[in-house]
Amino acid sequence: MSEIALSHQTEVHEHHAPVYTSTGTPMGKVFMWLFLCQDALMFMGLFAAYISVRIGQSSLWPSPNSAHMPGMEHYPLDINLTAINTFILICSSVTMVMAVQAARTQSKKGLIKWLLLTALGGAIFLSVQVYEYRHLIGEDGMGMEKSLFDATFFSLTGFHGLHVFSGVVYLLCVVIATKLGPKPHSENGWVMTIMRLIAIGLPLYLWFGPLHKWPPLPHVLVSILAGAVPYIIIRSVKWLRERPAYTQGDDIEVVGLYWHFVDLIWIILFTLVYLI
Amino acid sequence: MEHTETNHTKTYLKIFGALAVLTIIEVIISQSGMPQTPMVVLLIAFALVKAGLVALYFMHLHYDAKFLSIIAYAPLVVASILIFMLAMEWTFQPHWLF
Repeated sequence: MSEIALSHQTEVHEHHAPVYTSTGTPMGKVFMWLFLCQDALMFMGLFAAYISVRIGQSSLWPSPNSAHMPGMEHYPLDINLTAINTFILICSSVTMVMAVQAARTQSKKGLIKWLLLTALGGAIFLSVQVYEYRHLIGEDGMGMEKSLFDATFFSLTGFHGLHVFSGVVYLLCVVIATKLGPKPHSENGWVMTIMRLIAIGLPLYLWFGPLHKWPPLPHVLVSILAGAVPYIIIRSVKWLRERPAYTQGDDIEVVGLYWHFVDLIWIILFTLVYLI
Repeated sequence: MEHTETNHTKTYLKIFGALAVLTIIEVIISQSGMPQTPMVVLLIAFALVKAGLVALYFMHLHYDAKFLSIIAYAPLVVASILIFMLAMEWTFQPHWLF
């Protein structure tokens, strides 16, 4: 009995065995870095456009020091609230590295706990961002079509927000896959089909529904900008479909790379958009 | 494949502390009302240090194979080209700066 169980377990682990490059780096990690490289380029394009537009309007651009300079526009962004949000995102990066540590020490309980805390950090970040948007649009009257300040602000933070959103989906999919454990070969039912439909359909609805009604952001541009997000959603679905053994810390590290990247981009974005 | 596993928890907590402190200093600087140019230089330097800490320690570039660092630093080359092109634009339109 135990022999059968052992052989089945070995089979499962062999089926999900990670592939390594000649340098000993897991292939999944290399490909995640390549993806992050192209995603970083996309953000850099946005940052470059932001800097260019901002320098072009330097005398009119609201900044935290606007209050010290007579004649400058009122600065609508709440730096203290966003600093707290930044702190939450940094905390979630720490919980993510703890999740990788837990996976390396083969602690399933620890892994699920740290992953859930990371996802919670992401969810709180998004909630604060939604609150901020509601305040800025509802009370301060900001909007994509109002000014270049507003348009660049919503484009940059919105694009980053989409990344955080897909990161939270990614983390939750990993938690579910870890809870379910390595997948027996025959299992692939209707639950997975529904999960895939939700994972792909919901973001598609979010992007193509309300966003394309914003006049300065053409439909095509939004879908190109959102192009990185489907990749992460597909990776999430892949996790649910294949369910690699949670003990393989390399797989969790790949998830962590994406989450830290989102944190890294926010660090730069927070400085450029809010503080300067 | 063998991994040399070490517990990095202490390092992670130190990095977390550094990131939190740098964020607080950044917020204080941005609201201090100091002249624009030194403030921008300081804030960008702080942001780059924070981003570097995240990449080196949280994203393990410090511990990983060198070629991953090459992939990671590749976008920076493109970024410097972008900055160069922007600088050219500012040079030819100096009224933007004043």
